[in-house]
Amino acid sequence: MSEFKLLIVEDEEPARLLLKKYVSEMDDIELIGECTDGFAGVKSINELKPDIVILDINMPKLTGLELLEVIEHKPAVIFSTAYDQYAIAAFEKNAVDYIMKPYSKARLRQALDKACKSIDAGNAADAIDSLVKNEEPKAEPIRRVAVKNGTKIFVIPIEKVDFIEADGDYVKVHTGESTYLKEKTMRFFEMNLSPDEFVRVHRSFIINVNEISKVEPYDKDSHVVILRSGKQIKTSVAGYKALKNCLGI
Amino acid sequence: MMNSIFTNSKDARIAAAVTAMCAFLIFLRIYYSTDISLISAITDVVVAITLFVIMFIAMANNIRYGHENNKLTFGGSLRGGIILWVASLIMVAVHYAICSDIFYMDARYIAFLEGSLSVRFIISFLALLNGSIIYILLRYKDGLKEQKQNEIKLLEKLKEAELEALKSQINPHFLFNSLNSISSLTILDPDAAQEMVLKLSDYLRYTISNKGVNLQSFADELENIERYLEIEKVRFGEKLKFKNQIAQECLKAKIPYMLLQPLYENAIKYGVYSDSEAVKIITRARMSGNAMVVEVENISNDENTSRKGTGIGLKNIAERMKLTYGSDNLLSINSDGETFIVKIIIPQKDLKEG
Repeated sequence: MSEFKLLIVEDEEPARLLLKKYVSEMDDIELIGECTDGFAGVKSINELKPDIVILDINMPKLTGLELLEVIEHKPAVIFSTAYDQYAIAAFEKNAVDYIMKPYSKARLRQALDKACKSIDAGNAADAIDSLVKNEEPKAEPIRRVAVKNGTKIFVIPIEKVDFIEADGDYVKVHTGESTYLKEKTMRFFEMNLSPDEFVRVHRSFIINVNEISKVEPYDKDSHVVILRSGKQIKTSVAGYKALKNCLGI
Repeated sequence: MMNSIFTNSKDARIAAAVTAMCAFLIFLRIYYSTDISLISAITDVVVAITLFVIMFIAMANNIRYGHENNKLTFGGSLRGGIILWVASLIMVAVHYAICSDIFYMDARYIAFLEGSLSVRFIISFLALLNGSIIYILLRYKDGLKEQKQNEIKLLEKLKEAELEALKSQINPHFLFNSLNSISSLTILDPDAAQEMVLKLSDYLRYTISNKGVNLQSFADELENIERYLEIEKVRFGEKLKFKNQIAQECLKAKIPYMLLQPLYENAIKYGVYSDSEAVKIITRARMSGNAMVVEVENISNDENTSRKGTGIGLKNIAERMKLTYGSDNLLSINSDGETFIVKIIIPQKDLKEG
């Protein structure tokens, strides 16, 4: 029987200790590391290349879901959560396995068996890919965006985002200082950013309304938004209407 | 047309049947006790009843949409009387104009018509009066039914709001995470597990048992808050720190039940989760004249911690303060990068409810 390398990413000590105890009693699972926050989780996943990760959702710095968006190595993932109905709905829709805390050793074993099977079948990363691409609106508007630049991970508070631009299968997240590429759709951001702060003014642009310096007519039936940074963004007819709506004019 | 006047079709059918019956009786009366022809008697009755129905519909609509206030006043009655009087006059006049035009060559009928004008006026007046009174009574009956339904709806809403409040006090995240900690501790440290079960039981008991009573002593509330923080501390360990600076005289003060709870939940949600260093929560209370001033300060060393999400909890507190004390300037927020202070002034006299 081959051994599977397991990484635990869990911020709460009691939960981590019990999980370690459960796993230490299993012959086919080798625990190769444990992390207490999302940042450390990304680093360990990329460096240690575990086969299976047991991942908590609510964690400091980077949530389990944000972590998935920025990792290079794609292991089989088992989410663990105490109560997060929106996340669970997304897991079920994308066939991602999860365990509800508190869980029994038997339930953990079942999840691990399933993960092992999917690794042997070579499709462990598929469910995760579909979860990352999930566009369903979340419980509340997102307040930050996790991005990577080379090997570095940045968590950008959405107040610092000037605008978001479509770029093929990716989007470019522009802050005052730099631009980050992210594997998400415009639709995802349109649905999950606070509609009071962000407006899709064009098929290819979502702007932070707090960054608007002025709006000027461009030609007969279109307008141009000028941001504080000086960047000019043309609006579509529908986009201009949405912008007026958001600004209450 | 009838359906828009009567709220249920049964009333409409009864009204139509009664009207038809009256029409038939009137026909019998004028055909058999006078010498006019059958055709003129039938026409006379048909025209009269048609005019009555038109007038009745007009009056019913006037009653229905005219004024929502259904109080009986002298002015209103006088106005109604005049309207009825004029309506009856118009009915008789129009009836006369139509029938005398149709049967202008029938001398016997014209004589009957002209001779019966005053009787017609009185009968029209009484018929319309009768119809109006019955209609008003029907509307009144429907109104009572509607009022009862509205009251039931309002009660349901109130219950819903109470349930919502109760649900928000027992945060499911908190409950399941605590159960998870207990599950771990039963294996790792049974004594700690027992201690936590006791704390959680006390917390839940306090949360559930006091739902009907709005005001609690600050000492009780404070004790429950400490219980809550101690339970959370099992999960977060050194990441969560808290201390109280409470003036002795505040312990007897009254405070709305579980009012401050959302502040601590927010501090943990936004402090502990977005920041892996420690979060420190300081609770201060002092008396100031007839009020207690409570400050909950939340220090996290992460400047980027977004505070926007705290809105719902604070809105809830503001709403409850307004409901209890009838004032909306008792809550203030002070925030600079690292510290976030919510200050609440809790009046100790002149309560809307005690």
